[in-house]
Amino acid sequence: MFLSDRDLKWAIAQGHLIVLPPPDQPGRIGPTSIDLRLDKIEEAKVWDIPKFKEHNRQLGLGDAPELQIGSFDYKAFAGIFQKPPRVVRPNETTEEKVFRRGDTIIVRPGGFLLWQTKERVGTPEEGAQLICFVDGKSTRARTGLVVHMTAPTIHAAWGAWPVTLEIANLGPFHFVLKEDDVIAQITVATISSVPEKTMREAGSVTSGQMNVAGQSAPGQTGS
Amino acid sequence: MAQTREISLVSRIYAGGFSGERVVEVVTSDGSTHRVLAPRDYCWTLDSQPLDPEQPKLGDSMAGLVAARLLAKARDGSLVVTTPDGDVFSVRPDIMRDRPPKSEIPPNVPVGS
Repeated sequence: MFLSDRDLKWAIAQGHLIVLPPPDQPGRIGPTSIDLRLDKIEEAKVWDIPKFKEHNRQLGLGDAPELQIGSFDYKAFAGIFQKPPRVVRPNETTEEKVFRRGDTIIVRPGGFLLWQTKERVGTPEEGAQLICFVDGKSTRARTGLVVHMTAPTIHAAWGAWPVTLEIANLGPFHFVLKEDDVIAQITVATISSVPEKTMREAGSVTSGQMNVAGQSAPGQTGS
Repeated sequence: MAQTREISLVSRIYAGGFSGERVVEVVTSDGSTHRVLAPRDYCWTLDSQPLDPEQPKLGDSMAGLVAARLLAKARDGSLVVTTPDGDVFSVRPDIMRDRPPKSEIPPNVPVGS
């Protein structure tokens, strides 16, 4: 069941839903959603394709930026192949699809970038009862702005994280984005029970072993 | 409801893709390296101080602590832990530390915003 504005406020007040800073300004909480704002402009990032091409060249993988997506490990890429969009001066022309002009990011048709939200969103470390979904804003989507087309779920894990928005321009306009722009929102739903996946994974790792207290896990022989 | 213990793990911390994100390497119980993604305020210096926004610099790394939860203790003495990105793996007990307090100010968000 999705939470209404009344229940969203209650969930935040009770600590079941973490949104930092809290959405306490008027209009930030809609009937069933909470608006998310773009973080400071330095948090806009594009993939460093020239660097990735060089990486592939050094590995003898050719000149194209081919990515083995099935084995792609974001953790190995983060901080290495992400970079801020290039700053373009007012009179300078560029063919780049994503670039920075002053305090704005310009996204031309076909452009793609990552940009984190100012809000950190999540659930408590233990006993998560809620799950969040990231979505774009429908009126903005009509221009061709795509926000978080895939993987919108913030799973009931632990802690509050900034949401990393995958932003693409499938329309005919040149989008101008800046800090505090509201281009995304979350909706929040209850989950049927506290997830046991983490503990089940722990059980698989510790098959035949003991829990923190040194007791055999239920259903195990303890031998 | 499962009750697990808040801990931290000695690790090597790298800059992530964003200022509030860190990539953390933790040595597992079999000696291999497990890579973790964690928010900056779930990471600390070895002496339990919060990380500065620019710490460590891009391309550098530093020894530090990353938040974890202790899920189980194995018969061989290794510890099964989960990290903020939800990964579950086992570590040697000598890298476990108490968890330092979390900083109150979220990364990237100016006070009063």
